[in-house]
Amino acid sequence: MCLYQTACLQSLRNGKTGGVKGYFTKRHLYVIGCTTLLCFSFGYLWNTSNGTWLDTPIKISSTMSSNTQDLDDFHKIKQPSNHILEDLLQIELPRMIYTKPQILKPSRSDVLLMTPWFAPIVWEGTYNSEILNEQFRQRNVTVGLTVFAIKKYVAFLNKFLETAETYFMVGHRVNYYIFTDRPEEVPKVPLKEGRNVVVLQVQNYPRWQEISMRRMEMINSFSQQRFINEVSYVVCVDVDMRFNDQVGVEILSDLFGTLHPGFYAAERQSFTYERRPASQAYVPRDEGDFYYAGGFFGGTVMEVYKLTKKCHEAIMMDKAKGIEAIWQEESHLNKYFVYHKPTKILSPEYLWDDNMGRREILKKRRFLAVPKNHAAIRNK
Amino acid sequence: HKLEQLWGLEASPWLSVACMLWACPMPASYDRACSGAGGSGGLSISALCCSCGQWNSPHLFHGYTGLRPKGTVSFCLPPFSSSFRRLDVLTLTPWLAPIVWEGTFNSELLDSAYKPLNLTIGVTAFAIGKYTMFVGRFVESAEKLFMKGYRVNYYIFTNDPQVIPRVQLQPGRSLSIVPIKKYSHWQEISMRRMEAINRHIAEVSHREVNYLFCLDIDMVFHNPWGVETLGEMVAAIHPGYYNVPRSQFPYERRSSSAAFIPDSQGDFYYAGAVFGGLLKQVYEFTRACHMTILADKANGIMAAWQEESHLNKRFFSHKPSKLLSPEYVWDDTKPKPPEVRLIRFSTVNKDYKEIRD
Repeated sequence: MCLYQTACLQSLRNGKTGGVKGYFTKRHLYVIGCTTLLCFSFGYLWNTSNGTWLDTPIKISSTMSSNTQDLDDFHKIKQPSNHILEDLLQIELPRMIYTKPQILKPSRSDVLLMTPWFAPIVWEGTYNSEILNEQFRQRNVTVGLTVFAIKKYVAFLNKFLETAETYFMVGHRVNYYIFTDRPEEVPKVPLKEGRNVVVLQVQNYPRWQEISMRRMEMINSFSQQRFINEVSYVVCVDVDMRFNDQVGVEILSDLFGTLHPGFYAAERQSFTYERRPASQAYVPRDEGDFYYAGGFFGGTVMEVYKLTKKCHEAIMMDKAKGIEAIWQEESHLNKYFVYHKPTKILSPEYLWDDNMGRREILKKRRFLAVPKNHAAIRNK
Repeated sequence: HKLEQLWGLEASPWLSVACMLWACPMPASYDRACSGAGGSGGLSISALCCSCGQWNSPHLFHGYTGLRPKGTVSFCLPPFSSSFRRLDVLTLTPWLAPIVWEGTFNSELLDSAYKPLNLTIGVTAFAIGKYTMFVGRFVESAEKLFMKGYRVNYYIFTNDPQVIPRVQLQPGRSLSIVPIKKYSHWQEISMRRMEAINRHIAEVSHREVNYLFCLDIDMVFHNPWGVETLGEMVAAIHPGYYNVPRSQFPYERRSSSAAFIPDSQGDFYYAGAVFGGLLKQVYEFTRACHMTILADKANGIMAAWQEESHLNKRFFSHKPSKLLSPEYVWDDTKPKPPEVRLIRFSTVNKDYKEIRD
């Protein structure tokens, strides 16, 4: 607004030839004041009427809702990922004031910010939430968050949902998909506007490893049945966690994984990949970029569908051979990411355990493990 | 003992690739700061190993995610202390778009992903009036350095097709001449490019290319320009303004112009000489720029730097998905600073008075 005033004042002053003193009589000041007020109100009206608009309609729901349950049809769907990105580029941003990025001053010099295939690694200080929020908000993106609360794990839901309400995708539309075998035990947590809880009843399994691995199958099946019609992005996380700081649209991308907090500084030979060639999840010692955590991954519905399908099939093939990967579905996820590089990677800020202490490089700890008694909780 | 361990795993492909790597050292990519920090900064075997199988990446293909690249090349990289890292420059914008500098990307990795897609990349360049004299050098250098190994279509827009030299082209590459009208003023010629590109996409190039780059003709390639530049919508950072405060950017500052950007706003000053991206995006972009140019015309105003001002306005309100560093659009009259390790594409010295109008 003040720019308008200055512009108006300047254009008025330019008309005058003499100096200021003695030239600005009371009458002149009165005229200037009124004109400024007029400019101000014009400017305000102009700005509000000339607001932002979307050039392209959101294509996702219209193409997806005509989709049938058939797997083949699902494959033939036009990839939502490129539509999403194309839509992103039609966004016209409103006026925003922020410090200019500096070419000779990287935002962080203590950590790797981008992979050699141009996937950003998201750390605090590398992104501007205002710009990103505006881009996603205008597209009215809905984010699905999947979480599995099987058997005694329902106890984690309250804290999980409460903290998610405070920190996860604030200001955007969110669907929490709670996969549980005990739907009546899902707590009723007050939700903000535009956010819903969807309880999905699923079967449980006797072993916790089995429960963990079956998540791939369940996410895959629901991606096709529901997510494709309801959300643009799916985020899959562990339930025995709490949000502690902002986890927003900066994480969203076609396909993203999170750096496992225990291995971000390790050499690839020490990554706990599955090392038995008999397993589908096998990764040789000389391969692999990062060790990703099984507890936080996601992407567009299509990409999550493809990832979970591949992982589930691999898990089943292993089962047929009587082999179980060393870290269950996390091993299969890591295998997938070696050959299907993610388009964005989240730093360990996005999955941390306070038992590991603090790190200089972690300016924020956004998603933390909740202490639990393994013996009491698992297999019960 | 490490060698023995690795010998067991498909030794021959691994060995041949490793030999290839040993033969071509990459001193510039190694991060001096990393080697001290205990990272794999040195030329260790583990850092150079590579025999990852085929892979693909969803967004990398900007819409071709169904395809699986064939072939076995893929270069794995050491984890945290990557050899592909720059500490001296910004490599990510605040909206998480990559900024392409030498040392931030792995060409082999990217080629292994893009080559199997059978892409065709288009290049538009305008050679009007005396500017036809630049075509020869432009195309000759592009043949050696631009998207080597890929299918390329050059579209040379000119008012005088007769004088365009016939340059010998590599297989898979073609050159077509697009006749256009010559306007009387060089500024008009410059600004009408948006309209011409837009029309040409609609009529011709949408059938022929997947990506399109719009480049100035009075330039020459000096170093490789590859698929690291491909993106949905790509802008290049102007070499003259990457290190100055935004108030000094030569944006159009008159609020009556459709290209107006106030002092307090702006991320970068982008060069009008280089922009590109997916065909659909370039179509929308040129349409939008041409609209604002026409709006100004109707108001009797011409922006400070013609279509470059409009380009900057558009990129400010619709942020590009990838940025090219000034390596990709350099001014040969400027001394090369340390942060610019390679000059890939830069101006040809010319006498403006002689060739304009």
